Amino acid sequence: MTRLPPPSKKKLGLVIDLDICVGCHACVVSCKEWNTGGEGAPLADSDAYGKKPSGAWLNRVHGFEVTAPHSTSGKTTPAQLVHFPKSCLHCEDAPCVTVCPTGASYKRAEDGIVLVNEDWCIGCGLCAWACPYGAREMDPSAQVMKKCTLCVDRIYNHHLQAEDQLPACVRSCPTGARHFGDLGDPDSAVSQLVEARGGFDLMPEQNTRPVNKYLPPRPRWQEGQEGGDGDGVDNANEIIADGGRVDLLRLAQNATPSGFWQWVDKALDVLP
Amino acid sequence: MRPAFSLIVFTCLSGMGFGLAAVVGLVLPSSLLSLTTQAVLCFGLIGVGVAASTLHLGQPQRAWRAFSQWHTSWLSREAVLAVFTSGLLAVYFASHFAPHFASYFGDWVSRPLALLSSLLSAGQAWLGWVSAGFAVITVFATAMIYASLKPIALWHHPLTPVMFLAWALAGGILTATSIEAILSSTPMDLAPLAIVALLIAAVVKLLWWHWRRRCVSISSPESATGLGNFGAKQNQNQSQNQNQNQVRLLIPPHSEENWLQHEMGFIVARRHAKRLAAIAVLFAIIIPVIALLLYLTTETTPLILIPTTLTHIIGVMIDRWLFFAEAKHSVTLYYGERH
Repeated sequence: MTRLPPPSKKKLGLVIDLDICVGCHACVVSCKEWNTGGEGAPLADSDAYGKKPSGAWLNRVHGFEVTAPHSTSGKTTPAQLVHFPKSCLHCEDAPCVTVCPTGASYKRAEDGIVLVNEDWCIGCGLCAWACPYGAREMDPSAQVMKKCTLCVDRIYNHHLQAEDQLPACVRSCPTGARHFGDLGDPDSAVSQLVEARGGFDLMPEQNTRPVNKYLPPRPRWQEGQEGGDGDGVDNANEIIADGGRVDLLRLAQNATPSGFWQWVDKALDVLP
Repeated sequence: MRPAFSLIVFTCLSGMGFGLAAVVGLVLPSSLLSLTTQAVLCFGLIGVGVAASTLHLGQPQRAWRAFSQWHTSWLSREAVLAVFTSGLLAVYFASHFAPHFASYFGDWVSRPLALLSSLLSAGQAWLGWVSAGFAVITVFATAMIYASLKPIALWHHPLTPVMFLAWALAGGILTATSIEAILSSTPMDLAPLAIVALLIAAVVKLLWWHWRRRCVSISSPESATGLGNFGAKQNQNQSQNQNQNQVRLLIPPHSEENWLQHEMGFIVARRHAKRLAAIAVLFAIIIPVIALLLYLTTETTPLILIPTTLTHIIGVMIDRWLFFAEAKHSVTLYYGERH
C-alpha cells in the first residue's frame, strides 16, 4: 500500500560508476528488451517507425558537459563529458509511493524495491509528478505507469543461470560501470565500493534518500589547465544546432506549437 | 507542467462548485427558485469538474480505487472528501426541499419526506455549517495535490492552498450573488461581499505571483547529476559556490521528445506569462468587480451578472492554465533547463 513500510534491512539497488560509463546505451537497450519481452505488459512504443517516435523506457543515458572554475584565471577548465545513466533510485522516502491514490505504487518491505501494480494503476500520472528524477514514464499503449523493477523477475528467478540473476542493465554493461547489491548491508561489495569511492545521492535536497548511488568521475582536466572562453560557441545548444542534428531547445521545451496553440501564440503576440 | 484541459476544468469548476456550496451552507438562499438553481449549479459544477478529472486518467474504469489511499495521498483524500461533501450537501438541500415538495406527492412520498424534514429541521443550520466547512476542506485537498509536490518549486508553498481557496470562494460568492439577484424577488445583498471576496482573491493571487515567481528551485543540474563537486580540490581557497562545477546537457538521451518532456516541459503559456496573468485578472476580477459596482450603484439589470460570472470562469481557467504551464519540474534539469 502507499504507506511506506518501515525501512527494510535489505536495500537492493544499483551503484553506477560515472568514471567508467562510456555512454554506449547497452543498459538502456537491454532494459527495454527484457522488460518488453518479460511477464508484464510490453514496454510500448508509439509511432516507432514514423515521424514522431515515442515510447516508454525505464533507463536512459544523458550526456553532460562539466566545466570547473579555474583556480586562478577566472575562466574554466576544459570541458569534460560525463555519460550519465538514470533510472529509478528506489528511494527510502519514495514520494511516488505516498502520493499514489490507489495503492498501485508500493515499496516492498522485504528488499525496498519500488514497484507498480499495473492492474491497479489508474494512470493519473501523479507519481511521475512527485518523483524529482523522472524515473517513471507513462506507457503510451497500456496507459499505466511504468518504472524500473530492478529486474525483480530476474534477480529472484532460479530458472536463470546464476550469472543472469542480475538486473538486465548490470548484466549487459560491457564496461562494468553498473553494480547490483544490498546497500543496506555495510559489508556488501556495493557498500564497500560506495564507501571507498565517495558515492553520492542525486538531489539530496529533495529528501528522498535514494538507495542507488553514483560514483564520481575523476576530473579529466590537468591541474592549472585552462579551457578558455571557447571559440565563440558558448553553449551546448549552439554546438548541436551547428552540427545540424538536434535542436536541444525544441526537444527540451516543446517550443513549436501547432494548430490552435499556434494561433493562441500569435494572438497573444499582438497584445502589448 | 503540461496544462491538461481536463485538470483545468476539474480544478476550476469543482473549486467554484464547492465555493458555491460553502456560501449556500452559510447563507440560505432567499427563495425556493434561487435555492433550487444554486443546488443544481453546485452539483453541476462539482459533477462536471469531477467527471473531467477522470478524463485525465489512463484507466478511468479503475477510478474507484482512488478512494483507498486517503491516509497518504492528497489525490485520494480529495476524492473521498468530494464524495463525502457532496453527500452532506445532498442531505442539506433535501432538508430544505422536503417541506416544499411534500405536498406534490402522495402519502407514500410525503410522509417520509415530512419525517425527514422534521428530523433535519432542527439541525439544518448546523448541517449547513458542516457542509460549508467540508466544502472548504475539499478545495484545500484539491490544492494540496499540487502544493505537496516538492519537485515543483512554484507550487510547493503554503500560499498555494490559500490561493485556491480564495479563488474558489470568490467564484462561489459571485455565482450566489448572480442567482440571488436574478431569481429572487427580495434578493439578499451579497454583491458587496462578492466585491470584497474578489478583491481578496486578487490580493492573494498577486502575492502568490510575487513570491512564487521569484522562488528558486532547491535543485540544479549540478545537484541533479551530483557532478557539481568532483575534482574540486584545486580550489580549496574559494567559497563553495565559486568552487562548483558547471553542468549542462550536451547529449540528450534520445532524438525525440519523450513522455517526461511532454508532461513536464511547456513553453507556450510561459512565453506570454505576463500577458496571460493580466488577462486572467481582468476577466476573473476586474470585469466582475466593475459589473457588481454597476449593479449596486445604478439601475443596471441583474442579468448583467450572467455574462459576468461566465467571464469570471474564463479568467479563472486562464489563470489555472498559467498555474500549470509556469510550473517547472526538477526533471527538466536533466533535459537542459536551469531554473
